[in-house]
Amino acid sequence: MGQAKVRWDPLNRENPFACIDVIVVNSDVYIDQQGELGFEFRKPVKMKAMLDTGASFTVISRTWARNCSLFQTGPDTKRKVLGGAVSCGEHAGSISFPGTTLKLYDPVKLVSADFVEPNFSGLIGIDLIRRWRITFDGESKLVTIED
Amino acid sequence: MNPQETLLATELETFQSHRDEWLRDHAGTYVAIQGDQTAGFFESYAEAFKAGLARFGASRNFLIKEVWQTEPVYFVF
Repeated sequence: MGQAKVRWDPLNRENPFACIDVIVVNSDVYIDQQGELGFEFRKPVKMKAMLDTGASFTVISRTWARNCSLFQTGPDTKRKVLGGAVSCGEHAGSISFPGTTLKLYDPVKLVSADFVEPNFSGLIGIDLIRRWRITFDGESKLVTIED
Repeated sequence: MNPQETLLATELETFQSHRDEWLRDHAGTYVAIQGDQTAGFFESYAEAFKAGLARFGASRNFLIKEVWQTEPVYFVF
């Protein structure tokens, strides 16, 4: 069983979000195939993603998806979001959680969208959250995630 | 049209033209499509992706779609 502990202060006005460090890269099976053709990939970068029980899928910023050169498996289409709709693409990738013992998911569907949020670059949606057991200790402001 | 508008457009047309036929035997599965070719129907997105790579290679994008009559509605709040 893997575990992660995340600090969350919902009353923090500057950053009231529960975020976890994530690394998103292309799927291993894709990298293996491209590697055989001589392609090189950028070094993985650690980013913050917010745990979002209101998101039905995991989302990363479009900029991030482009930087990772994620393999696209779905064209840009409009998705409903609070207050309207945004254009989202679908990608196959791998998502891991550095500094924790949570297992990585590879390959997994990742949706890309434009973000204007300074505190995080992605959302961990219900597609991943449903695989975890999450508890929040309000006194210590700690979220514990177990898989 | 910009590249984003044309990306996987042929594959979407293939999906639309076969949707009713595929719904009869493959509802709820994932299909991987490149051009007018499919790599088969699978229980999960991950399986469809691996099969798509094995069938089509990684040099060109392929589409992965869940076989449903109507598109699922996704929400982000």
